[in-house]
Amino acid sequence: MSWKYSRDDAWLLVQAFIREHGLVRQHLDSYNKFVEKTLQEVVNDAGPVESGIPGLVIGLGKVYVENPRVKEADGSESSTLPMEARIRNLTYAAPIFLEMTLIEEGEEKDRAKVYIGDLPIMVKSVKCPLSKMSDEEQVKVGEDPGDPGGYFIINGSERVLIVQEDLAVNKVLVDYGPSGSSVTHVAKVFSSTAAYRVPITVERTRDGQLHVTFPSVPTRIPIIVMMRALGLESDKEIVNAITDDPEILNELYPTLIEQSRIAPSVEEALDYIGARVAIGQPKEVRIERAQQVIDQYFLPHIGLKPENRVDKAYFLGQMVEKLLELALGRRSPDDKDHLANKRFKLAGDLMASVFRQAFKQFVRDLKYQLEKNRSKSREVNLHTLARADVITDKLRNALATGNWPGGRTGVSQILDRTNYLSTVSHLRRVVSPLSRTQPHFEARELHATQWGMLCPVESPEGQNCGLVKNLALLATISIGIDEKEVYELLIHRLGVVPIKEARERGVKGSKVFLNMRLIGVHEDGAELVKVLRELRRQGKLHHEVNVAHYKNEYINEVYINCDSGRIRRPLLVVENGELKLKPLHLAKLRSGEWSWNDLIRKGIVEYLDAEEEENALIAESIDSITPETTHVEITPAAILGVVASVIPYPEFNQSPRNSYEAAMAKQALGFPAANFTHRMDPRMHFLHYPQKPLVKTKIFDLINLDDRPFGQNVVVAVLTGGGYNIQDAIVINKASIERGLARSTFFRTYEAVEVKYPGGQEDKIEVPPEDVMGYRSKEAYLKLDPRDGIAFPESEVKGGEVIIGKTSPPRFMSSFFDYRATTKRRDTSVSIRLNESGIVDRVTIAEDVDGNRLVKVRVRDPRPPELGDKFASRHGQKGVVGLILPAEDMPFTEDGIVPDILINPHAIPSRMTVGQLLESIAGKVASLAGISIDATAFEGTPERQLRNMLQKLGFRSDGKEVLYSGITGERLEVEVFIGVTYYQKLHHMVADKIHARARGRVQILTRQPTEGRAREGGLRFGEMEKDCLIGHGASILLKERLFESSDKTPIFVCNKCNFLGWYDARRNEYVCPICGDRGELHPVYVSYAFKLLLQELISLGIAPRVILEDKVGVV
Amino acid sequence: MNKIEVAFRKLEENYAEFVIEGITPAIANAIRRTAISDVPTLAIDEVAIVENSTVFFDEIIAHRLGLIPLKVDTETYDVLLECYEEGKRDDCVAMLTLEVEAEKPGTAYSGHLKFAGFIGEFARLASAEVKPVSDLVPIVKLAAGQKLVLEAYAKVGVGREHAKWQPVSIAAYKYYPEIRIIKRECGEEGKKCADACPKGILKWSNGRLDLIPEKVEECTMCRACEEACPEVIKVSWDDSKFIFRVEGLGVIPVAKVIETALKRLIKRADSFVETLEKSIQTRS
Ligand code: SF4
Repeated sequence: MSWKYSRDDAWLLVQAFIREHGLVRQHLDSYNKFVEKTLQEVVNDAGPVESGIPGLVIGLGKVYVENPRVKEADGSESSTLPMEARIRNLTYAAPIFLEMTLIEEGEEKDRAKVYIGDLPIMVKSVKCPLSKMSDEEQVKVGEDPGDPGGYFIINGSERVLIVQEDLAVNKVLVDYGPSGSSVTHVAKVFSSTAAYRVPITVERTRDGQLHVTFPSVPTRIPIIVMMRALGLESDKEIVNAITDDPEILNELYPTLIEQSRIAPSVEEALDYIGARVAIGQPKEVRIERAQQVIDQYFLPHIGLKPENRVDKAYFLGQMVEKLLELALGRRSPDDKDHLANKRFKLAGDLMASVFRQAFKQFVRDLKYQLEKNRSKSREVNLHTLARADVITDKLRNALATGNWPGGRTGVSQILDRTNYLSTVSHLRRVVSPLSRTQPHFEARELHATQWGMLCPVESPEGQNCGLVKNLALLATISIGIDEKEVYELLIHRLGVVPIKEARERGVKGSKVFLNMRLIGVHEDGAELVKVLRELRRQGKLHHEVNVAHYKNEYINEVYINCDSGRIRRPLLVVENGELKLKPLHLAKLRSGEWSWNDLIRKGIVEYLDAEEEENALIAESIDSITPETTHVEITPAAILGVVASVIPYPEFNQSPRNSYEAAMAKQALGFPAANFTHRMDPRMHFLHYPQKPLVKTKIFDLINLDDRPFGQNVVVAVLTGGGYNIQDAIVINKASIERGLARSTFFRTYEAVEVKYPGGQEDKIEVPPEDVMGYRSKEAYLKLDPRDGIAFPESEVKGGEVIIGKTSPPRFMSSFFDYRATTKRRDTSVSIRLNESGIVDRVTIAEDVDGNRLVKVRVRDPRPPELGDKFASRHGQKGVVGLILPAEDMPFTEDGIVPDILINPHAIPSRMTVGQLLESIAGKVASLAGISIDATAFEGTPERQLRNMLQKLGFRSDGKEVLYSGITGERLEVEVFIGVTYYQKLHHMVADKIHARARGRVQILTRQPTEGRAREGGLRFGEMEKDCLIGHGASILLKERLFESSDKTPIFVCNKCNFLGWYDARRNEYVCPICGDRGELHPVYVSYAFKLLLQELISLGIAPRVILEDKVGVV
Repeated sequence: MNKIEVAFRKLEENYAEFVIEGITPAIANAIRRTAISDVPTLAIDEVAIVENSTVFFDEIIAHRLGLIPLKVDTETYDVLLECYEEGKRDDCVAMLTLEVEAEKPGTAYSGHLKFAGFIGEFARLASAEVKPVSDLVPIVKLAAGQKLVLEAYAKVGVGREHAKWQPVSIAAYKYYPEIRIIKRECGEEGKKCADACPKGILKWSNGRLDLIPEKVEECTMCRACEEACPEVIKVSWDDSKFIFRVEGLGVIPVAKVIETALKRLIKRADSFVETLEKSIQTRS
């Protein structure tokens, strides 16, 4: 049979993948697991709550998460949906109930399902009703069915939890010591449990000695002492825990002999540690403290109980062995940037860590309440003991501020809704915790293991470069499965000999690591790995288990991972040089009989993590399959992320241009959400006539980008435009604009809350009466409806006009000099921002959580393109409008085609965006032939074909045409490259930025002009401008700018004491505070900032003196 | 000076193709520019929205209405033109109304616009009807229960002001091509040359290159043939002879567009002459 895996087949697979996973599966899966499993685990870990009163215990049972609901101020509850939360500024959350039992003296006294707090619900997760609705039902409740979900709604604003990249925890990484120190080699592990993480380091110093350090013990501890303290009495046992290799043993001997002497018995070893943590205590206390420390703070991920100590010793032994292997040159240092050594924390993991902390506090509080209640009365009611707001507030605050336990900030961000692409990209973003101010060159570089996992194109420029990344199209992140099952399987069925037994019996073979912990030895590692992979392909082992076998002359290790946070990607399985995927499978997929999951279950496609990839030989196409090949890429284009996939012909562009476009696509105006009419986002843009690009990549069909486009197809000629398109500017056709090209609308939502204050006072939304404090002019309130104090919909409003009239009760003692203020109500109206204008579009009146009336007014501002607006093609070619040229002045072709945009030819050569030229030709073919052309990375319609098509359509194959000048009417000397390109209007618009002032406000403190457009500020005349004027000798002008027009102030200086005095207007005399009446005061003009400095110095107790002298020449 | 010769290759209601000989590019361009930017037409310029519960904002609907081409008959057009030229555009306003309420999801089309008579001094033209060129221009899609009621006022204006007043979608010309085959018997070279021509103007058979005479006017002077084999062919053009193409939007016949364009050009020249004469008189 001559079937060959084709590109269409590849995209069928990708489509199946996306249909099943969507684009934000990683967040949804992880959150679902958190709600369904982790939540219960956290509760179980907290265990029964034992109070200080003996025999009184609260047992914690099952956790229930109900459906999202609102709790009104009057106490009533009703179920809710995201749109309500957005509009009413609510938190989209569901109540958590916990089964609690009160046990007294072993006897159950009370049992109840207690409300313990609100859990923010991820939109479209299992707990969100939207996930169970059909598209039509979603539309009915005001939702966009195409919305990916995967975010939270906190106080009305949409927030994403950004995936956090981290060094793999519980994994031993070896490295050389820092140069210049006595440490030559280091083995380090971050031992991490759900609750906390402890760094543990084994160091080898120049003298060959080994020591271990961990945070709770202030000094280094000899390794042998530590192992002995962990319960390995004899040297033989210790050696067993470390190695069975004679050469490594040799290397260990000096340490063993030297350090064994320090503490020959377990007790002495414990005492050695005890002496360092409990200084000056009696021996029993010391030993007890030492035991406590090693149980609690040493390798906590293995366990916290005394029976885990031996396992800890073995783990430590492994660290030592790995370190010695490094020292002997048997392995190279671990690569910290290798993706196998990284883990990614998803929304669920992040939520779990906050919840764990919150729950701990809740339990502490519960215990306290129990004791307090108990000491007061006999009756204990479980419902009143639980204080739900602890958990509610903690969770909400973390999500609202992005401050996470562990000191991370910016974990939650406001969801980017500029366009659909930016939303999706935001939900697939990954950040690294490395500091952005340090170079970290290696960490920022693209690592080979990121192939297919993280997008090589989409990363910001500048300080975050390489630290903020995005998932590749097909990458997923593992959710994690229980390692116990895998352990059982390995030990009982697959012949892995547990490590202790193996060392005692002297079993040789491959060391087997499960989730980075040595669990045993298998005689034939290669066979084990084969069997495991076989099982996985048969669907008998969970697809999230990945195995890798490292083998060389010295090292023979099998790594089995099933933990969460590994990035994985699907690949086609090849067996015996042949694809397992057969046409039959594709047919089933096409007919809908099979889904993506069936392919995984049948082992036709499997997920590999970066570790297992080390064992794989992946062919990039089926043509390059050799007998050794294990896998084939589904499609090479899937190495790109969602945003980068949008670029047509990216492989023809210089790579940074693709990165620029990946950044700009997120600023392009488009159609952000189908429910935009309902949304009351603080800022929102939408393009009036967004179009599907004529030259598309396959991603457009996969994720419905066609329904939410972000640009328009325009006719572009590469031609100088009379100097108006120099420096990347563009000349744009006036008629095109008049016909609707790049028209957009900008929305801004203003809001006001009618607060009810404690004590009966309240705000009032109304047209403020004339006698309120701070009454503006009568005209300012003209647009208000006299009945409700809110502007009429569809009324035109200008900057400064009030759209929500509001008065507030007087503020007591508000300001010191206006004592009348205490009796008059104040005007606290909301007015349109200065410099902005628009039309009142939509008004919502709702009630917020506290039962206050919440008024939101959305103002829309039509924005036809104007001089200075920013546009960009999909190839990092950005430019601002330099001229709007009347249609009749534009050059034209003999067919009467007039370009919409003229870009400068100089934009092309140095930037090498050949992709844009190809897109232009392809666009021309597409518009002439009425088809859409595929330009997906690495497989776009080839240039040859485009040229042939164009030629057949009656145009020069290179896309050039004869143009005639619209002004002179003459033929342009040279043929001009003209075609159709997709252009994006970016959200940097002149209307938002234009600003100038002649006079205006000053700051109160310094009396210098304010800064920034929002404050009607001046334009900074800075250091360099100052130098410029000095250079020109224009010193009077300089003085005028920086002094007269800034903060010129008279001060009065006493010539006797040289201190500042003042003018007393009431007595009409000058006063010197030092010399009194005898003062001799002179007015001096200085900068107010200088006067301020003098006064600040005085307040510090420093006496600055101003010494006056006559100006030269004035006698 | 040469005599001006005009030959129409095609003249339809909305499309004209003709060859002019004996003028300079500047004159040709003047005609083209006038046709685009200075032939007055009627377009909706003011909209009073009575009710709009559609997804589109008032200004978007108004903008869309403006772009709907409105058809007027020739007699009415002459009156409108006169009125425009006298600077009384506000006195010849055509009023149209639109009222669409959707019981089930549907679309408001240009066909829903109803002519409601002229307003102002030119109301005497009440018999003439103004209606959209096509009844199938979608204005806005309506969901069930949405309603759009408005009054639209169409005024006369020119394309220079706003693209909606442009009477033509295309007005362009090219120089008249002159193709000279230098070496007719050119062997294989000639095939390359013939293949290079995207318009298929050249024919090659048995080592001989020929022009297809009836297609010569299609030549775009792109010089692709010349680039392919510079020894064989030479492309040049006559810049006093032009092939014009004008495609109307249907608001008035293209012939009328061209006529008006020329008349307005002449009128301007006349008024220049008048001014000149007056100045001479006042000086003497
Ligand atoms: S100039 Fe262009 S269109 Fe004319 S004959 Fe040569 S190739 Fe053909």
